[in-house]
Amino acid sequence: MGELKLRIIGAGGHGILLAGNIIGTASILSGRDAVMTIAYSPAQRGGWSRADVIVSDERIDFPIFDNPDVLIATTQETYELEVDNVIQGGIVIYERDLVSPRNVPYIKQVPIPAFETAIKLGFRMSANMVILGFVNEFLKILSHEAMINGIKARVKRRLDVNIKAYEMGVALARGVEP
Amino acid sequence: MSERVSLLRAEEALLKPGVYFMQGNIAAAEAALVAGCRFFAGYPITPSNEIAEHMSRRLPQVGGYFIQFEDEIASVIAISGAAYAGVKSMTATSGPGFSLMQEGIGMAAMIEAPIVIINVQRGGPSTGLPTLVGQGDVMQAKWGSHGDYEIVAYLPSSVQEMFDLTIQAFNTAWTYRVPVIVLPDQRVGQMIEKLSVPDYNEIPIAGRIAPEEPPEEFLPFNSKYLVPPMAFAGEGYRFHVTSLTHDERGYPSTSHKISTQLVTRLIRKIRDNEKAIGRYESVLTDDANLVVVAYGITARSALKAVKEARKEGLKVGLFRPVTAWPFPYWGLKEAVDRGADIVVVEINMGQMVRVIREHFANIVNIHSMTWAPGDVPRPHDILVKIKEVYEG
Repeated sequence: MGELKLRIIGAGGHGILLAGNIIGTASILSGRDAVMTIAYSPAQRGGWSRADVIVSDERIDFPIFDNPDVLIATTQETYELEVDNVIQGGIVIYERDLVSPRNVPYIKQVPIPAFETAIKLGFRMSANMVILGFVNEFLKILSHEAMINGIKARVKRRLDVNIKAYEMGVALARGVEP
Repeated sequence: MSERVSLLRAEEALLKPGVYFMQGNIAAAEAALVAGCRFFAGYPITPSNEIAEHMSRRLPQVGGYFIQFEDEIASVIAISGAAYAGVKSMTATSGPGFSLMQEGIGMAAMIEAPIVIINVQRGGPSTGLPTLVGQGDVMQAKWGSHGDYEIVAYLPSSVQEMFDLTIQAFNTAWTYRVPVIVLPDQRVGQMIEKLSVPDYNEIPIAGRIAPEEPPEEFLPFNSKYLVPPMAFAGEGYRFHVTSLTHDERGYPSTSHKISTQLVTRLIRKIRDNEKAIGRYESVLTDDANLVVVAYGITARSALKAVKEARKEGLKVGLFRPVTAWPFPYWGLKEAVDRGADIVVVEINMGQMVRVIREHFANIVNIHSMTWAPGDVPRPHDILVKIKEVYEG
């Protein structure tokens, strides 16, 4: 895989940082290197939060990047903020019901009904796990077993529902309606 | 050994050996517990808050104490008192709080209290940029308090070093009875990356040097030692502690002989041991015509720049001081003798470069790449500077 620069951004409460933490934890537990840096909008409430994650087969020299290979955005505001920063040939994964994408040449844009899926599951807060499953199946960052180990290491409450949400995300990426 | 000292390790409650994806500030807090820290005094300030927050939860679990004080002045003085009571102690802060602590740091140096201060550097001056990176406190760490004294300061550049160097900071503080400053920048403090915690028996932990004399013969500042053995309050030893210039018994004195004896010893205990304390890392410097000097997060960017330069056939290396103070100038000597150009990159207007000029000006060309606080120079920015100097 080499090195993957992944930027996850969305509203506070969308579980952005937890998703980044799980990818990082799962990566290092499976022998890769990973680093995450975090940024917030100035607002104490109602702002956005951003997790920049690098996953690499080698030791990561510099943890900061400006242009992600992959952007995951869960709101229109954060999509607009970051979409032009994605590298040419990069990928944008956006929340289908909260983002209206615009045409950006040289990048691939993929919608995901993360919240709809999570609400169907009866646990709206698991939308980040749906995204995680989708992204991992789509990009093949790690084995699903490794990523689920990362979830188990980081998620304390309602672990079963969160893992189910992850699996539904995986199924979505396979093009199969769960 | 007193009961208080037996609290040094409560292994079942410490971070278990293994691999973690952890924030630098939290790694430093966990490291402090492993080192035996059982008292934290502090006042909240961004971007160091995770340390205090984590310690407030974790200290009670290991039999320790956490107090949020009214300000940073009280905090730093409280940890000196706790150290004299036999408890390994620390505080954490950032620029404005570090400024307030300077008086207490001078006092700790004067009374030889072994304390650890973590200053997670943000952008300055003054309240500056609370959430953003700076490296502008390097000189303040050394010269911030008045009078002649020595301190030790470490410059972690990874989460692993936040852990390792915090433990080292406690060991150095207690070995030399000196205030030790861990000086990460906001980026290193708040980034999250891999931490490997080794088995505890692989982590050396230093404690005080206890007095061997019976109480009636004990001199708390006995000048036959560079580092006098330390008695704790309540152990039956009589001693007096003052921040005034004091004799071997600890009583104030205006004698020039006493002043000479004391101040010389405070300085010599660090300077005579600078090579035992000072640390650095050199990467690709053996044949380098140009050596980049950088620390903290900037060293991570510089490392990438150096590797890029090598790919383009430029003989460039990286020198990373791991201790700011004592500055490990001897690690640069070989490159200087070869006539290599030096480029110092730091997120300030040129601080560490002054120390390198002090040692090597008129021998080699020393270039300063300054960078205003708030962001980190990217590898590309450093590469541009490397090429500019390299190609003359």
